[in-house]
Amino acid sequence: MDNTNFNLFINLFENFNINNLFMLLLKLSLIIGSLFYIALAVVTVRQITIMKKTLITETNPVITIIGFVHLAAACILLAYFLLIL
Amino acid sequence: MSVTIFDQNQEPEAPIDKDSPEQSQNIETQSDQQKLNLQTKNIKKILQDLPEALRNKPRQEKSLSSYLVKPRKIAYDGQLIEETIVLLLRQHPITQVQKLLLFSIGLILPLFLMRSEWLVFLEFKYILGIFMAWYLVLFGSILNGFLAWYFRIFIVTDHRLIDVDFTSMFHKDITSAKLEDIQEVNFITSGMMASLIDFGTVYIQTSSAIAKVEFESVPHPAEVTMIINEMISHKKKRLRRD
Repeated sequence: MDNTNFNLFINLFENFNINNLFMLLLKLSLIIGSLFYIALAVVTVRQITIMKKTLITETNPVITIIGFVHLAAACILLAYFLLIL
Repeated sequence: MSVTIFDQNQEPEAPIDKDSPEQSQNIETQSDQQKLNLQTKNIKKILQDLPEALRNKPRQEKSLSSYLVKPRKIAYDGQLIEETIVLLLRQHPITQVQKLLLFSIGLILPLFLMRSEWLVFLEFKYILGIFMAWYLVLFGSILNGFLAWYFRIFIVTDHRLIDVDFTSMFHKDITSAKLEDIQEVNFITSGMMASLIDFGTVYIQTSSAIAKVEFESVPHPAEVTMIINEMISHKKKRLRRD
């Protein structure tokens, strides 16, 4: 470990407090939660695709769009947690 | 002398092409639009051939309705080319009120939390993120609730009954029974709300391996029972004639 890296390592411990740890845990929880939610949104889109084959109506394209909007919103939320928090 | 009254929704009679090579073929190979057009064409074809009670009923066109008689632009997976949907049912919208109330509470809950003091120690960007996540989860729940209602359907065709159960995202169960296999149809309307608003469960006893088909909390159960009974006797007459 060179001198610069060693200083960074020391700074991390010097700046450590319980508040930072809480924020870090909260951010991690939100990121993991939104990853799971994206998986759920993908399953919803997949279910819509399957179910619209079971029942064919003129409303189906609108429902498909809503499913994709939901998935896009889940992705935007993950991006917010990763980039803004 | 019998007098038949026809309503404005009825189309003129068209001959049924019984010897068509298309008979008993599945509509799987066709596009969605072709399938929808086929149902529209079939409804016109069989209209005069339907039992009188069903023939005189006005047609419902809204695909979001829970009680659709002689629907036009609707088809289902596994439908035969000559098969026609005469009745499509969903659970009565009143059965969804409990979910709607929960969603309404979920909608206003963050507004109360915003005023509480326990969020003070969080930075604004965190509060915003948590609220966005809350409303997204709420939107997802509403969407899944709607899908569970919209795709949980009961279909009566001129050939069979189909019960499509889509209770959650991970549960799909399709049961069908041929009209000639049905032995008994009865219904139960239980509770003050069900009696007032006229919804109930229709039970269909069959002779096949699937003993019972249930149409749960559907609107106008007495009328549904009557239509199914008429369709059964009509199908049996047709089979005897052929």
